[in-house]
Amino acid sequence: MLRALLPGIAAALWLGCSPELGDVPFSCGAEQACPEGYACQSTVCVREGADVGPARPARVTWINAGEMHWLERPGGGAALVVNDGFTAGAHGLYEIAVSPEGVADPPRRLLGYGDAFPVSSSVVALDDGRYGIATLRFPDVDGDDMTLEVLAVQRQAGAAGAGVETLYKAQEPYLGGTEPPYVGAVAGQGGIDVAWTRPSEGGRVEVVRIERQGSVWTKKRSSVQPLPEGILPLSGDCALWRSGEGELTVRVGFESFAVARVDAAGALSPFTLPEGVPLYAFGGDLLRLEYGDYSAATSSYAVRYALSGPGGEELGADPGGLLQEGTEPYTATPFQDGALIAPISDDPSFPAIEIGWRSASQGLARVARVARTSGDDLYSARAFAADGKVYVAWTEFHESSMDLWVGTADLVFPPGARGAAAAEPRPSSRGRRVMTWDAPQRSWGRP
Amino acid sequence: MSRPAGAATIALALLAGACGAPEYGELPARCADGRCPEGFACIHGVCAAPGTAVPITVARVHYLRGLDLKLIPQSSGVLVTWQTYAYSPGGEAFVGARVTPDGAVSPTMGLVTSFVANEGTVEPYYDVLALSDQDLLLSVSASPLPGDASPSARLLTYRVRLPPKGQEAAGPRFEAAWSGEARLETVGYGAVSRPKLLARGDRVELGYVRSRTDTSGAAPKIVGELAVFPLDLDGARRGEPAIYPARDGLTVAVGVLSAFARGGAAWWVLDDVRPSALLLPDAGDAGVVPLERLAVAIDAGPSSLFYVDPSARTGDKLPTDPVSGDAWLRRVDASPAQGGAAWSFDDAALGGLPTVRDAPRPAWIARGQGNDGDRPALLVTPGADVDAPALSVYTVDPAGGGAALATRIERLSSAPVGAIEAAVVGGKLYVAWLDVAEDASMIRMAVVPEP
Repeated sequence: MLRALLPGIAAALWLGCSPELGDVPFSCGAEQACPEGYACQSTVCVREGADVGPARPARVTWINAGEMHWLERPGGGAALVVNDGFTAGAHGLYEIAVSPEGVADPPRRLLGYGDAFPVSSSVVALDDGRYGIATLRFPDVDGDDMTLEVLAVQRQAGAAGAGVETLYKAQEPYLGGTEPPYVGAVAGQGGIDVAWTRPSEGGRVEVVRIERQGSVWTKKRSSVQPLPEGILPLSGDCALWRSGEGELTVRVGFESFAVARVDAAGALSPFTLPEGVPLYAFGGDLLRLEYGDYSAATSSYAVRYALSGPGGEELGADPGGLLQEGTEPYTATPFQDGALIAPISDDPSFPAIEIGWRSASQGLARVARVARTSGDDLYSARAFAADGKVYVAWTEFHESSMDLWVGTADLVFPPGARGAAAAEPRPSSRGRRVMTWDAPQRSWGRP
Repeated sequence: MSRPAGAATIALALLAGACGAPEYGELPARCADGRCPEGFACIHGVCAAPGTAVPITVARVHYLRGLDLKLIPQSSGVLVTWQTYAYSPGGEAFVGARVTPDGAVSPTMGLVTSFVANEGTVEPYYDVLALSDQDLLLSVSASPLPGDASPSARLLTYRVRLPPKGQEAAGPRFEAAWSGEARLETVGYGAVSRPKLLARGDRVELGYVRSRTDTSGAAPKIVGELAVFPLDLDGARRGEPAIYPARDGLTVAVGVLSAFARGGAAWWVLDDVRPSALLLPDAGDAGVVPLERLAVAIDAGPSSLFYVDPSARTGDKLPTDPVSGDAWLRRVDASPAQGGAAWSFDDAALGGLPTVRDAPRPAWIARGQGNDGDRPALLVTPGADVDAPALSVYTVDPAGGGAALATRIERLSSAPVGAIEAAVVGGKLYVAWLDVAEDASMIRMAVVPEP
């Protein structure tokens, strides 16, 4: 008798009590089932239209500052590719699809590489829709060489039967260390340019270009320059920027940096050592991060973003707010004829991630803002813009782990700013919180 | 017999009265207050059946690298040392605790608590050399500090005076033995060498591998060199380090793993994956010999170096993967060479060993001459699996490699083993190991009769 009454009681309770479930009440049921009025977003039921802040799609051991890459996504939105080289049992590159509204899909593994040494990587978009991924890896216990590989990997990880194609491979004697230096890569004009440091012979930077010839990718050219004094051969992290029509600029170093230009013919110039941290290049001009006074009270630095000419002369500088002691912006990212800079804030606690834009002719403008819901310290951030939206990913130190967050915001240039005409903001819709992807955890020291 | 343990025991008793005798399991509770349920004894802080061999817990920390666990024999008992890191709640420190023959653990002592480390880079490395039960030398190497204009690695030696046994709560006294930090060239910010202290009778030597770009030849070349600092017994520097080419054709961002002083010579063993050994006679030229990959040097004579060629890694060949097959005891004999090189080396297998992992490295105790010739050495290893439930102690014929299982030390844990250290003192075998759990690292120890 009682058993027969239960459904009725439950229905009465449901109808009569209308529980307040909140915006993000619980995990989705089987087949992404959620109560009416909620939608399953990355395994969590989220109230439709709710403004629940940015998404935290991953909690891992560590993501390097140079290993977050945004790419435009066919059909709208953007894809973030991150390299998790430290979470036990989960080393690999992961793709996170992010909608213009800020909804982030769970990370999907593009490329696993086992739990040996971490592998450094740089990701670009290929004309055929695949990702081009340049990787640098140390040898296993039997090997003696480190290996640079450029791979083509199908987008939409997990596509049935999708293969990984090796486009290019080069080797270099392994001299030791715990983590390969970063590689830099850019794609364009039918090819991929890759910058990496060969540590032998005193240390050299090579910029190699590969191009497709029919069905096969081949090395088109390469250029090498020795590392300048002060840049250590095993710490030759490379970042590569397209600084002009057919021209590239490579930055190399860790803690201290050198830059060199690659002309349209592929020739790499000798390195020079600018002040501060070069974040991007426009032709021969360098956008540099400069650190100012340190506040022990807030554990932060006052910073500014300066532009210097080919001879090192300063062409202009803008206040850049504050950076927390452990924050490493690593690089700016291209947008229109300038570059996006993140994170920016005038508050050392960074209640929001602000994104700045600067070009060779236009001073720093703050063009987007994504509020944070966490108070953890920041490690790095990377911004991307498309179709009137700014996408920003950032990492935070969380106890012995690292959290990866993403959010979106409208791209809004200040009145009169040069980029304003090109930006077409869409109706505002803030990012939404989605379910955490919890990779297996292990307590490690910071790499 | 133990006394009933308060309210929890009363509750358990009530349950027992109501529902029959409860099943406690073999290790039902910790017993910080020494009290356990009826029928159980408090053994090393855990309620267990009387007579159970419960490992001693020396320390529990959030995270500890295996190489930071060290065991130093004392005249009675041992000193266990480890490191806490700059990013840990307690900050950067080198600490230790004495363990007595009956398994009692002293309060933790801060051996050196003022070394400043960069929490954003690789953790410092250290080594300890005991000159007596109370006097230690402790050397530290580390990355440069934030804002440092030089990328060179830092190296410093401290002298430490421990309190008398039983007075550990009073804490040690320590001071820098050098007037300043030495700076060592490096080819990478993370390329900091592990330092190694070696007693040489009336003096001490400190080994460190520096790396640099050699521009003296036709083309620049990255080289690794062993720097041997001469020190007085109080740790003070006697002069500039002697520099020896050490890693031609090998990795250069490596550390000093072990060192042996035998007669008028010293053997220095570098790196753990692609190891090599330097023979440095007090008079005469140095010699360099590469060892088998993953080799673990264990002992030496004036012209011989003994090492374990561990069992083969399987799967992805990661340090945590299982190993299989026999290990081998090998010996490298050095003899004066004819022609250009000072030494020629002959590397030969002496005999088979049971399955021995390279990670954690096995502990080896050479026991020298007994009444009937060489006494068998002791070898401690988890065997094939990093999470083996027990550590196996073998007696090994150091001349021929024959091994016999002497005893097993039950870990009572399924956590991976991060390190093993062992020593024999006063007829007892002390084995310390590191249990690496998801959220903590535990330094455990067993004290058993010497096999």
